[in-house]
Amino acid sequence: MKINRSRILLLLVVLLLVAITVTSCARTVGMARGWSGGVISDGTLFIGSMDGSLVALDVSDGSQLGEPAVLKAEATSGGFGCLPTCGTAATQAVPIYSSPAINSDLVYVGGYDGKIHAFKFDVDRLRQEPRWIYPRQGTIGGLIVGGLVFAQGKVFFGSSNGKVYALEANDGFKDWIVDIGDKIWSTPAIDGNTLFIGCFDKKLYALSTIDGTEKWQFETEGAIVSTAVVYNGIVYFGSFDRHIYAVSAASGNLVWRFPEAEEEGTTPENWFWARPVVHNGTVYAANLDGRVYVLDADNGRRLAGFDLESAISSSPVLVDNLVIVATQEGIVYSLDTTTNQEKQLTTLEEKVNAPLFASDDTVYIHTVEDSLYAINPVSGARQKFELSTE
Amino acid sequence: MDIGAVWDLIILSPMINVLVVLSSYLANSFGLTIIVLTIVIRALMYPLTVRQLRATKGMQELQPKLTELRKKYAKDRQRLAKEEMAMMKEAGVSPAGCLLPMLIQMPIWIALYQSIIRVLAIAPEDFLNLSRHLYSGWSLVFSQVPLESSFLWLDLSTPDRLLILPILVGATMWLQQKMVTPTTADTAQGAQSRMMLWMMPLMFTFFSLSFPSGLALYWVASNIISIVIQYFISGWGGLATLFGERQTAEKRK
Repeated sequence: MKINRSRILLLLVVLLLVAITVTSCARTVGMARGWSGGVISDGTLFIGSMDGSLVALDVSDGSQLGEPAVLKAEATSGGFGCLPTCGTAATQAVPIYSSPAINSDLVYVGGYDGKIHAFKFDVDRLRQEPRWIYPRQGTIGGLIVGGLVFAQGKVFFGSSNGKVYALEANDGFKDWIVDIGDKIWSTPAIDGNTLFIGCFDKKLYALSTIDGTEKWQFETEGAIVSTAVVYNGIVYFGSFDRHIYAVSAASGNLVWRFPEAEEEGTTPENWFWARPVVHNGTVYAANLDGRVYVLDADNGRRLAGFDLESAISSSPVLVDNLVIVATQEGIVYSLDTTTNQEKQLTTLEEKVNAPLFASDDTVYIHTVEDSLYAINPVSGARQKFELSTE
Repeated sequence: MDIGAVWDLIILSPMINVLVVLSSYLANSFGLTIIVLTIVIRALMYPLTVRQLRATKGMQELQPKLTELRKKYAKDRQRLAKEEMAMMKEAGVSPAGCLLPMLIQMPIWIALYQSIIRVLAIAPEDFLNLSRHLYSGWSLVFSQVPLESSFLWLDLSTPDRLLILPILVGATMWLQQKMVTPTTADTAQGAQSRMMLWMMPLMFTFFSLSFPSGLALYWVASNIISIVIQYFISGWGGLATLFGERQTAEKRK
């Protein structure tokens, strides 16, 4: 056997090359795919698919209405540069995390490339016509992960570049921009003339919807990705410090925090990522530890808890008196708010990260396989629609 | 338990938690954390590194004798292999001894790459999956992430646009390689050594252009530590020849 050190080193280099290639480009790490929720208006459902398209569906039968509007960006990389997306074509599909927003005739969607698109859906011709793009040239310089909100004639959203934007809904011109400084992945919550948004800098900000002026800020001990909920003048949100907070919407003063102290068995063991649901004076807060914490909205006292045994990252949704929760493993539960009973509705056998949404007693769940399920929240009967066009 | 779960349990999760906790003691600087982690990893691997360097040095010392053997048994490959093995056994060196520490470092590179992607919240899915790796008994790790990605002029989550770090990666790796590259009279072997001397630094420079600079920072720190260790164990090695050549050239002038 001839021992040739150079050949062995060459083999080592090849092995290294293969290992790093596999690490970077095999869809495991560093690969953005998207997890958009949806929005429904006049019997049409709009949702961002995993192949970077804004898809319109007829909610009555799940059929796709016209051609999806595809968000494309110039390919940012070849070779090993696989961020934010893999691919070597001249253009590549843009992942969509941001749930679309809608006003009477325009649908807005934010791409992970840092662009906001507005489409007018032509019902007669079943076509999505581009209306405007923000910014007109280039991108905003930050990725968009949180959802868009339409209110007061404006489209509000936050970005990974640390800025909160308010755009004119009709033409996409800038109304105001506020630079908070750190990444923003949560969706704004609007109440009156105040916008509430969480930030990676561990703070919840209250901004004026009129000009973006900061009204107050509230600091927690962890990053805030969870979207806030405003209910009876109180803002409820979760933090990475494993607490749920209730803060006065007017002053930003702490009303309560759960848990007040760490207690064996009742202390959340992971991040609060999903948006809480508040109903009938009760807060339902899903945690990545697989539990849903049921708290008194007035004082944060723990009323009950559901252990669903799998992480929950997708925001639950309320339908009548039922809180519908999907775990990351794709098991869907209904939690009865009147009896505090849980019921397993169905098992999707596909992972779920996207926020749930509902309309007319139907819950919609977008899975990581790019399927959209329409589920009856009482019986668990379901229909499956494929979103990807590829 | 599948191999992915074993990888997560034994390598990835401990590395992520250690990175996060270390950063809290280092002024939340992820750059400093990577450097300190590199020092810790290299300290743990010190016995292996020493073995590798001694094996490399032994191989270099054997080179003249191996060259002679190759000439002597140029037409009898079987005999040549047998004699080479016997010679190396007698000298107590093995080519595997040169490679083992590098092979052991490979999973660490991969785990560090995966950790950087996750703790800096580069892709939302990876950041969300990070929660699975955090130790629930350690409340600090939950509030600490995502870590601060800026360090000096760098955004550790993206490649260095100024190209300073990729150049540093290439330069330090070249110096390290040069120190261990044997000087040989054998023309063919010399050509192979020269190829390796340039190939690895160029390849890692190329990687550094595409990968998050946090990983490139690890490579630079690791290379510098290697150079220091190599200096104390086997001297300047091939670099001494380089300096010698320069000094001779200067004297000629």
